Amino acid sequence: MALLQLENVHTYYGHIHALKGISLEVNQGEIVTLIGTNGAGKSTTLRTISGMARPRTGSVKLEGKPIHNLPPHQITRLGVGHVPEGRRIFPRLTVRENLEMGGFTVARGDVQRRIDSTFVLFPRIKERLEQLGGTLSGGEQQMLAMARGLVLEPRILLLDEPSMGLAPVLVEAIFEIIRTLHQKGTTILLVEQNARMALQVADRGYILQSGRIVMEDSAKALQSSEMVRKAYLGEE
Amino acid sequence: MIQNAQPKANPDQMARRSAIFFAVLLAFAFLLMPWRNATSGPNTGMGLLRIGTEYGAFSLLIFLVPLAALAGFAAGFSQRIAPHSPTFFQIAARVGGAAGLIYVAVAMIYGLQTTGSVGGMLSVQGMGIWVTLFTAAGLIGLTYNPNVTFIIVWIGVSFFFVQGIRREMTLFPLWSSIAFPMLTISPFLVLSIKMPRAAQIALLVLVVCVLLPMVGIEDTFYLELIIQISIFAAMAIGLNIVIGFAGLLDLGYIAFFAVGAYLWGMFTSTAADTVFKTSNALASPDAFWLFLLLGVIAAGITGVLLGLPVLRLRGDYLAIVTLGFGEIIRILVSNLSNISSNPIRRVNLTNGAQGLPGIAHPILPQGLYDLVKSIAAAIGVPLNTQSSVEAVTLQLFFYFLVLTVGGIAVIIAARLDNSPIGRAWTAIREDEVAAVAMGVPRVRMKLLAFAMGASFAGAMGVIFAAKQSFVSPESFSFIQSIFILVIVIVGGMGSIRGVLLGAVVVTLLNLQVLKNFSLLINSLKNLDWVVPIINFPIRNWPSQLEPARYERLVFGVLLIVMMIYRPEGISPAKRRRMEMQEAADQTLEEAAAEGAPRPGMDKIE
Amino acid sequence: MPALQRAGNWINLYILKPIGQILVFVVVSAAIMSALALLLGAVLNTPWHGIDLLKTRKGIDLFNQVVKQLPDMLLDGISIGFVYAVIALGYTMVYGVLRFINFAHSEIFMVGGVIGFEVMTRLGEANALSTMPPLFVILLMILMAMAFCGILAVVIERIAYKPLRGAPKLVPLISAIGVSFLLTDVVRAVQALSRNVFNMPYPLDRVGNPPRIFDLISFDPITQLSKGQQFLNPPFLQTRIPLVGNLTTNMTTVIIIVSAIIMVVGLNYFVNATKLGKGIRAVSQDQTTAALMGINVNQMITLTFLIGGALGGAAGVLFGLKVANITPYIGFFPGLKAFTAAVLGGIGNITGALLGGILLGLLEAFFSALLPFFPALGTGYSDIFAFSVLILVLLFRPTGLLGKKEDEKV
Repeated sequence: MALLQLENVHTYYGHIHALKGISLEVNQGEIVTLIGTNGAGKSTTLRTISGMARPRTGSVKLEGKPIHNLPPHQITRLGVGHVPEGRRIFPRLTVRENLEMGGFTVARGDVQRRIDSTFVLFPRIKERLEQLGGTLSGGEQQMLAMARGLVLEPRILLLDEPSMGLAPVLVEAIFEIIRTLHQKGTTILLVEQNARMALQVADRGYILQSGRIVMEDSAKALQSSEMVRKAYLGEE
Repeated sequence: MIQNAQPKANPDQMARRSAIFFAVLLAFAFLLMPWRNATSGPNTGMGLLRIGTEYGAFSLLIFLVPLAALAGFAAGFSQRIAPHSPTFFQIAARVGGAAGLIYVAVAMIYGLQTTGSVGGMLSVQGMGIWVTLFTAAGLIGLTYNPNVTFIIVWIGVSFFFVQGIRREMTLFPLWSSIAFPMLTISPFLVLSIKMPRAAQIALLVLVVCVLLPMVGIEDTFYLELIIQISIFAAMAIGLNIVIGFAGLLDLGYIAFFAVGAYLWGMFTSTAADTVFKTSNALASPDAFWLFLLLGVIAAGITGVLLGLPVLRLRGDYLAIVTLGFGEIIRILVSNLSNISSNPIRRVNLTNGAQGLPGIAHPILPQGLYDLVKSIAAAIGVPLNTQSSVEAVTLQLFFYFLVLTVGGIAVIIAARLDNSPIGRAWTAIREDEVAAVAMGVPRVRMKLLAFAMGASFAGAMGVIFAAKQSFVSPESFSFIQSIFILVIVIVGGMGSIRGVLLGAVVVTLLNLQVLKNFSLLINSLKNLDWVVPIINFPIRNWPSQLEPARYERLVFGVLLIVMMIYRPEGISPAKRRRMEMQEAADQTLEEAAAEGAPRPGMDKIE
Repeated sequence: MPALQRAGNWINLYILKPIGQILVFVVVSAAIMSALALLLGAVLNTPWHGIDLLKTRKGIDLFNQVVKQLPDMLLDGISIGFVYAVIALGYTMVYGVLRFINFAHSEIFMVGGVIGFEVMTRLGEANALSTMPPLFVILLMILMAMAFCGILAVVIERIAYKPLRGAPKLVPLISAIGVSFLLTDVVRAVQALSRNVFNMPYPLDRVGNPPRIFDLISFDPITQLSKGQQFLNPPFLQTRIPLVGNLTTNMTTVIIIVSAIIMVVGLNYFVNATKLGKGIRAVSQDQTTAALMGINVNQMITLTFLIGGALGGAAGVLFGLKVANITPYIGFFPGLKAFTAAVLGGIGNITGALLGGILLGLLEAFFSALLPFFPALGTGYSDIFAFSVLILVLLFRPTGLLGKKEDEKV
């Protein structure tokens, strides 16, 4: 059984039909990436999974149990970690407090241990523990957002555009961390504009076009697909 | 975006609903109507039986005719649903309608024989109501056009109902709280029902300019009520420009009213003459018209002066600051009784908390007094004393003056709404940042709204001071601002008709219905009445728990309930409904997400 | 020993530091205000170009008067300032979380005063007021008011605000105005039913003061006084507490200041050191993301109203102790002044509310004490100053003294 399964999900924003029947699966330990242009419905898919948007029809199942009727905070409690687009650091909480918020649902004794364990991946964060979140640089904020998501020790991590607005060096670093996480067995659903990088780290990928999945294959196969190369990898 | 928010009821349902409503109305009229000349026996009802005994010959007819008329009414609707198919109902309608008209004719002849004149007949035994009722019911049956007939019935019934009740009746407060609102609401029914424009205007003029003043001449309490309604309606039109059109919540609106009132008061009151050490008032009553204009200008200027610094503020801050300004004006007028530090030469502008007494009213031509006197005599309410003639004439003058000024306000507001200025206001209200980006001069537009709203209130202030001949700071407290706000909210922000309706409903609720509840409790106390079932002797009702003094509770509940269930008001403007609906959609969306994200912060991908 | 050191750190961080901060605020504000008052006294004391604002009061030396009244003005201002600060905390917390002016907060404060009165009167009727330890009586009043008003605020939020989340900004504000009006009259109605009067005088003299036996015969439970009654001791709340030098103050002032400081320090601890407190701050900064962290946003909002309401209720009791008489209409002006204090300090900012409250309290005390010396002005104007401060602050520094520019998106 797939860890996360979406079946024929339709989501609306007011009267805008944003997702028109999305079905996808993420298996334990996989990195799956969603690729598509602006407005294709990538972020909406993630928001639907984490409960920020509600599907009008269709189902979202975590280990076979439907979660699409739960409020977001309960979905998080079930182990769905969502690192939102644009990082969304709490600007007037310190870095430490930001991390603590990531472990809001975790038992008190465990939080400190988990925070400490994220420092292995994000050593920069450790130096800035008492600084306010809003004073960090963009790259540091992205690190913090990911670290904050990892404090939950999620069963599946939803990453929304982790490379957005970052310098190439930092993008490299972020994807290196994603690779490391993969090796440690973390399940990730990755949404990226940078399709090339995404397909390099991912096991499988889905191509979204205006709310529909138009293609689904292993990452390798997608990389070599003519259509993907033209439309998303910028190759002639 | 959402036009079909309220699905239209199908004609069948509408017909049934109206028929039921009409039947209830008729039953009510028959069984409960208290009659005017019923001097013997209890005064509280049983109109049908009374008529039955005194007009014994018709008692059988009386039972049959309403039934037939009702059938006719229903048939009228069935004909509308399925034209060209004669049914049982249709035949019944014809028969019922004809029977109704025959009854009217017979009753009129009988009435004429016993009383000797048309006027006499109409005033006897509530004949007027019967004539209206049965004529209308008959017409419905014969013509199948229930709309116009319905409204005529409504107006007729409520008018004669108001006339039929008398203050001596124990349940007068109850009857009056039903009858008078029915009459004052009727203009809005006229407006909401489809009919020829000429008929609409004729009916409006009939109610507003003839029937209401007539009722007012008979009972000056009603006259006072309709003046108050008109004043508040005109002010609400002004506040509606600020809140409804430009989207600025002004919680100190009454301050501009105070500016107008004190302007006229300070110059003509007998108490404020120490300003320049003259022994007489500074302005003569003749200057009233000039001051009406000055009031408009002064309040407008005050609006600009107050608005200039604060209109850059965000909406909720602006609300609190305007509240502060309102209170500052009130505190100022209650303290400007001495603005000199010289103990000998006191300079008294406002006479402080005692208020300004003896404010002049304009002098009316003698012909007007004579006219009112003869009209009053003609409708059977002779005004015997000179003072009562003067009082009634003055009140009528103010009523029509407020109507005129209010009418001008309505026309200005309506034209503004459809002008480039109105569209600029809408743009500011809906998305200020985008509006500014599009080149809408934000501060100037807001100032204009502020000044326009203020100047209406200023004009009303001058009229109010002249009418009351007394002003005190108490009339300009925060609760008064809220009162006008409640009118705008209940009626529907941005909707002119809604605001007028709101003025009628809320003013009546506050000044008539609540007061009547207090009166009712008192008269029941006098009767030593005991509430059945719970066995509560009404005389144990605490004296402090008088409904008339709980207007805050009523306003509060109205505001909360309107905001939760119908933020666009009872008679909303189309645009507003859309805005609110959009917001509601968003709310639903967010409720679904439980962790409501701030509007605007989450882009749609 | 690390445990001891940690405890020391804790005390330092959550008790000493906040108290120190409060002390600094008080001293600095008091110093500035006194300097201004003295300056004003010195300048206006002599006629300037023939204009003498004090002309009628022959022989009045304004400067001397200021000096003479300064200690009283300061103590008065600081104690009422703390009351405003505690109310302002309620405004500021709700504003921080929902960006919404809880207009009904002033009436929650008023209800707190009523609850204090009820507790006190009931105790009096049960003849416990004079026998119970006075501080326990006051603690009981404050706790009852906190509990009641906290729950009241939560109920109000559920009924009148929650359905309106996401609606245009003015909609919940109008609803809050409705709630405020409703509460005033509900309190009136309840008082009308139970006592048929609206004045609620606190039986302050009774606290810790047994009446003599024969007084009990003609004992009036509402006023708690009987004719010709004499107390065995001087009333507890009138006890003079020595301060520096010859300066003394009464027990009420001390109680107000001490309990306000306890509440502020407690709130500071809660918001900065506990998980729920941090959760509230997270929600106030970004609700969506907070929900993604597994924080139940609605719960945090409820909690905010609970705390804000409880603080308002406590402030109501303190205010009642100070002015000794509560009416259903009493909420309006203190509420507006507290809101002004919140804006003055920077709305949404807890420290700011404290500073704003103290400043505003001092300002008010100075105004009411000095206005009578100006015959053309008089005390009638003392309520204007709060509005003027509000308007000036909003015009020239809308973010308040301690506020940072808000990253508000439109």
